[in-house]
Amino acid sequence: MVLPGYLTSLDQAIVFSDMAITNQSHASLSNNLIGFSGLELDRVNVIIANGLPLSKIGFRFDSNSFAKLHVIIFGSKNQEFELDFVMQEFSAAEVLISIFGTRNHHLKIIKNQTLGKGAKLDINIGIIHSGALAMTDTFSLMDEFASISQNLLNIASGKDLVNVCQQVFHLHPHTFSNLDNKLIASDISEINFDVSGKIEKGNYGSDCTQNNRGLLLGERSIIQVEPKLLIDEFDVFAKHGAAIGRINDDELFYLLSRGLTEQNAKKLIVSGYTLPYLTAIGDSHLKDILRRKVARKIEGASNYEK
Amino acid sequence: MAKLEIRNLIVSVEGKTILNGISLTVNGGETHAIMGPNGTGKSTLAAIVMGHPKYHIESGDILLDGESIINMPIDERSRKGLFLAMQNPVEVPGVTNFDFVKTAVAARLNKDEHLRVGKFIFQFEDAATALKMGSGLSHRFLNQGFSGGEKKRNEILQMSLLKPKIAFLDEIDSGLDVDALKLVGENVTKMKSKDLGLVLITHYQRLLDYIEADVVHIMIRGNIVKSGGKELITKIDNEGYDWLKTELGIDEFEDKRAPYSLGSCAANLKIGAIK
Repeated sequence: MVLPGYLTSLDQAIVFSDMAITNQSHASLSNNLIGFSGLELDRVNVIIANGLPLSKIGFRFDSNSFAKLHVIIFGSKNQEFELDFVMQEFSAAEVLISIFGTRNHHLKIIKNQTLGKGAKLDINIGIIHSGALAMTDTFSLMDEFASISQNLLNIASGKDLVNVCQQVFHLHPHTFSNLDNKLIASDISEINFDVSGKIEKGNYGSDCTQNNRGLLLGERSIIQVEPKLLIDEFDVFAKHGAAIGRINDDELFYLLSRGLTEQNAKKLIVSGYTLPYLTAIGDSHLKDILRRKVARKIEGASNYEK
Repeated sequence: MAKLEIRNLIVSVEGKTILNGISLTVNGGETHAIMGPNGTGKSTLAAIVMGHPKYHIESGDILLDGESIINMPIDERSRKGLFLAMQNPVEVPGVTNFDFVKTAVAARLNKDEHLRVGKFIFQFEDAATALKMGSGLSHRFLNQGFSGGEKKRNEILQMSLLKPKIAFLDEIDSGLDVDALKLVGENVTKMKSKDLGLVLITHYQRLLDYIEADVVHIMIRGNIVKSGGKELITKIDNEGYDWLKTELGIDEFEDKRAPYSLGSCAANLKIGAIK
């Protein structure tokens, strides 16, 4: 498929598509494994487009490396693949993942993250995909001071169906995880999240946190979240929560009382969900395009502006 | 000069009358203090003037500059010049303080006007500095993670930038320590002008030490039962409100309501266990 200009014009790009696999970045690419070593401040854009003839793409971050990465999953056809992130000792990475397409399609993603000693992985994901999405998201914290933080935004509208299973395994003492999910559903879309964090006995000093917020914009939209903590150790910090509802009347009254119109007040409240993801996009042109996609996805068929 | 008139207002919520024929006129340049025991309708009065949808106006009217506002949407009342500094400002996650205030200020501009963002940034920073709110305020999410005192100061910051004609400050002193109260008092006093009418809702004299009131009203059972000068503040501070029971010939300030059972399974089980 021909990629849109705003994707082909990105610097530091690695493209996986049915046309070709190209690498114009500072990262190494071998056998579908993208490698990062040293300190690299330029963000690498990895574009995974339609008809990907591969089942797995790996990301390896060498010891003491730092990298920034934007993984863009783009298409209009059904796709199924696996993303593997392996973080070696004391590596650090900021990863942005954008999932969107041009029309309704089915997408199945298996995303694995494995972190070694002192590794730090910060992920921001925006799922603006239309159609059906199934994702299994697994985090394995293998050694002490491994730390994962993931902010996820999912906007569903129309007849979208999203099923996500997130699992965090604290496999060593002093490991840290923080999952923050912001979910917006309008029309007759449905979002299901199963979120679990597991700390087995002996993995003391670990911190496992989950936050889930859901905003229902349609009368018949559905958001279901099952946050779970499986803790078998006393000396840990763990918390989870899920708050799902419509736009809060008190929040709305507060904003209206400052002169914002109801439409602007609701947009501002919704923007509170989308802001962390949009802020993380570095390229200003791409940011504008994704901001418009986010706005259209929210406004398209939703009734919240009525 | 701005003028707010509340005329014989009767307001109910869920069938219970909260405001009972209250009348009050506030002119620009005046500062009114409303005091009274808990549950007498002070905060309700402020909320109903702002247009809170929870309350139902049975009869009476509210006029701003001669125009009835009781059927006016909340946002329009605000743009007409009403402001309510809330007792419990809500937290709005993800919305930055700066974006919120900027949007609110922009909403007041005429269609052919545009907000000069550069100039507004300086105005915002100046207001934040005057209230000692720290340099990171603009990027923090609206009221999220704010201490009680910060939330109240943030209300005053918004008031200073929105420049209302009539402002209700609902228990703006609660949650403030002595230094913060003085700071808020000084900032509000600086804003006083013939173009601003102030209504201070408070339980304590201490706020009125810093913001001088021209008239003091005592509210009981949804109505103003006594109005006067500063001597009322001192009397309330020294003697509380019980002296009013004798003066008004009443036993209680609030309607007593009997507790009722929610009829939970737990209650049923307990009753069964006793048998």
